[in-house]
Amino acid sequence: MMEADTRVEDFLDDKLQTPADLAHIDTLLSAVEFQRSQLQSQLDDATRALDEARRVAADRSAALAAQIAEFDKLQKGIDVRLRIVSASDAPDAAVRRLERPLKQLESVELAYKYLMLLQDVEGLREEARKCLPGDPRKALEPYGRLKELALRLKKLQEEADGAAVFLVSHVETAVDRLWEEMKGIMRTELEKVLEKRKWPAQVSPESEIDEEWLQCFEKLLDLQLPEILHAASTPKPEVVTLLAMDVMTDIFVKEFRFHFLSDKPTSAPQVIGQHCFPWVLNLLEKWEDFFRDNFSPLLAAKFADTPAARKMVYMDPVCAFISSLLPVIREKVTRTLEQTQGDTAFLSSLLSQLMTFDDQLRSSYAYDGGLDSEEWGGLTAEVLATHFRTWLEAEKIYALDRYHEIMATQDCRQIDYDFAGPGKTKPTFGAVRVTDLLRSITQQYCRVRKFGHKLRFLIDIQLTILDEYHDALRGSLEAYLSLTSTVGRAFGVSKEQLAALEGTGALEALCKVYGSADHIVNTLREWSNDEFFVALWQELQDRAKAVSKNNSSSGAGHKKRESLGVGISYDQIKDRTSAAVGSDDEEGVLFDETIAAYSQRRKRAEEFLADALVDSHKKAFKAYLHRPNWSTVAEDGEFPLHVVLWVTVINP
Amino acid sequence: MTADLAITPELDEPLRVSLVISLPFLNTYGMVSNLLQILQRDLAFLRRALGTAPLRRIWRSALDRLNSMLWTDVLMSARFTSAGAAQFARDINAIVSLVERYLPDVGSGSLAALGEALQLLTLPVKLPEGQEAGLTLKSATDKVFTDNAQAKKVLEEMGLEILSPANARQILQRRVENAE
Repeated sequence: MMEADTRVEDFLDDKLQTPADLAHIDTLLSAVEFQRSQLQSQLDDATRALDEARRVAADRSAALAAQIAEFDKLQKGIDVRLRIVSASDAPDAAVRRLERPLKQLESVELAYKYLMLLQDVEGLREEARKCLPGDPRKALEPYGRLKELALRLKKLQEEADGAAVFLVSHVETAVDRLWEEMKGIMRTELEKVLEKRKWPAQVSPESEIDEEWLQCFEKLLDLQLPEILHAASTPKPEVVTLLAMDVMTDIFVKEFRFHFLSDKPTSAPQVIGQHCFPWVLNLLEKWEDFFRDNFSPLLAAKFADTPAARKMVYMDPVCAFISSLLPVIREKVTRTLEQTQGDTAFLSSLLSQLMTFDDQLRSSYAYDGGLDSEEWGGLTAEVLATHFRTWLEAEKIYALDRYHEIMATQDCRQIDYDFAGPGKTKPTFGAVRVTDLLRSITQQYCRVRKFGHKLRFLIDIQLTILDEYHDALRGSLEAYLSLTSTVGRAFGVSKEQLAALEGTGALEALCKVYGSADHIVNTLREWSNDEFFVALWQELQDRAKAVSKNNSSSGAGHKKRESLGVGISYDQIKDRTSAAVGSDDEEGVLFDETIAAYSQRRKRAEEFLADALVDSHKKAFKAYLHRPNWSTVAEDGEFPLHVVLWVTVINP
Repeated sequence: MTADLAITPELDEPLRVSLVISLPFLNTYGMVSNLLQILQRDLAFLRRALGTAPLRRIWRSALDRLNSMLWTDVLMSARFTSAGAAQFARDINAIVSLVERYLPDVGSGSLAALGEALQLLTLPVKLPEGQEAGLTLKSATDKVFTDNAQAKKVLEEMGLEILSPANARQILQRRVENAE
């Protein structure tokens, strides 16, 4: 109040500085009154505004509350709907409903591409066909594209887990069919030429073929060229027969079938060696020069500087001719085997004849089956692939029967004094027959090509017989020992047995063992230098060393016991042949173990022989050693001993 | 001694006959002839059946043992008069000759020790008439028993290579003359 009073005072002091100013007091009062009313109205306005604001605020918050309520309601509604939605599968159904039309759309696209592809296939086929028979080389281009397409489809199919089976097989069939068609067209062309020339009846083996013939032949070669080059360059080549040669061989194949695969007597399985093989060899001989003279230059030109240039089956027309003939011969052999199943004696003779036939193809025509490093196994190898066990068993039974027959012969245990001249050890007849038998077994299998097969013959048959014979010799020595030793005699020895040892009987019994063992040892030593056995030993060593090498590098010792690919274990082979197997020992021979065993028998027999002589001497000297009284011998004259003898020698 | 009796092959048969003829003089005739028969039988048989090398090995081995048997059971077991020694030598000689016919050098080789021993054993009591130098039983015995050097000289003089001085003394003691 005091302050206000001060301000009023100041105001009044300011306004009433002079008495004159009091005259204006009314004015002043009215001004104050005006200002107060103005302020009052301002205050009223402010109050009104405040009221208004308060009302608006109230209205606002009410509206907001209403809005919140509204939102809550909405939220609740959404929640409810969400619950409903999540409980239902309406969207999946929708997607599914869309799927089908999409797929149909895809299928339509695919079908379109499909048709395009088929059209391409058809187009390529047409294109290839159009070039024939005029220009086979040109036909190869669309064919090659088609072939490539088929290969690509095949690869894609594999990636797609075997989809589109129909399409792929259709294209493949199309390719194959086209190839057959192309070949057919070209074959027909050559066939027509051959028919016109009346091949082979009217064609002289000395004649020269005409241009048309040669051209047809060449066109067939052209058609086949990629196939041949591909076959020739693969590491494990399979022989492709020349189509042109096939066509020319057809007539002979027919003839062959007529003679050897019919119901004619010449078709009988037993006469395959008498009729069939000679027929083939005659045929080859007859046409050899014809083929060589007429087709060699063409083949040489065609295959020069290609992988096929090194192959006789492509370069040499006669070899190609053989290739074309072989399938029907193979068929005949297979049929023969079927017809004679169980007849092991025939199997044996058939194999021998087959080996001869193979050898003739090899030696006369240098036929090699298109193989580089490996030697051609021939038809024999094909037969042995399935029939080896049967053959081996049959040969084994036969050989062991023969062995037992030998051992049962009357003079088997007699010494053959005529076997060798003086100064030579004589074997028994038995020993000589056993080595003859072994030799004949070698003849049976020495022409077999496969190492494993040869080794089986050696071990299963030859070494088995040698083991048996060795046991027989050892048995003889043991029997001798039991008859002569005091221990043996205690076991009741018959008078006959003892009588047999009288005189030179004991020596004879021992000489039989000595001579027989000696004969076997010498024979085996001789064989160890035989080319066949040397080669077999070399091959065994090479394989054994390879096995050892692999093992030392992989560190797996147990592998060493694995077979060398022949069905007998490594150790077994080593036991049966030579301890030098797999070593670097240059001295080893195939028969080491057997020679050692027989040498042992021979050594024992020799020791026994010396002992027998000593026994004989002891008996003979018995009286001499004990009886004479050397100090009472009558004087027999003055002559020194040697003079007496000398005189008696000159003057008996 | 065996060298003197090296019989040429042509004389083979005469020797056989000669042995039979000369043997009746000896009282060991029956025994030796039986022995020779057996030896000959064995030799003949084995020569047919065996090669030269095994035949020689086997006989070498058997005769080596015969040599020791005769050495031990006859030479070292009996006492010999001059005539007895001569007879023993004749018998051995016959055996050696027989074996030599079949196997040259085998008989003389195997029985070589016995042959040398017999040269000592058959030394004469006195030198034959007309012979000035040479060993008698007595002179040899004296030297052999003197010392090893003397003994070796005697052996050398007689050309004996296998026998040792000890052998020589043992052998000379087998003579009845030296028995005391």
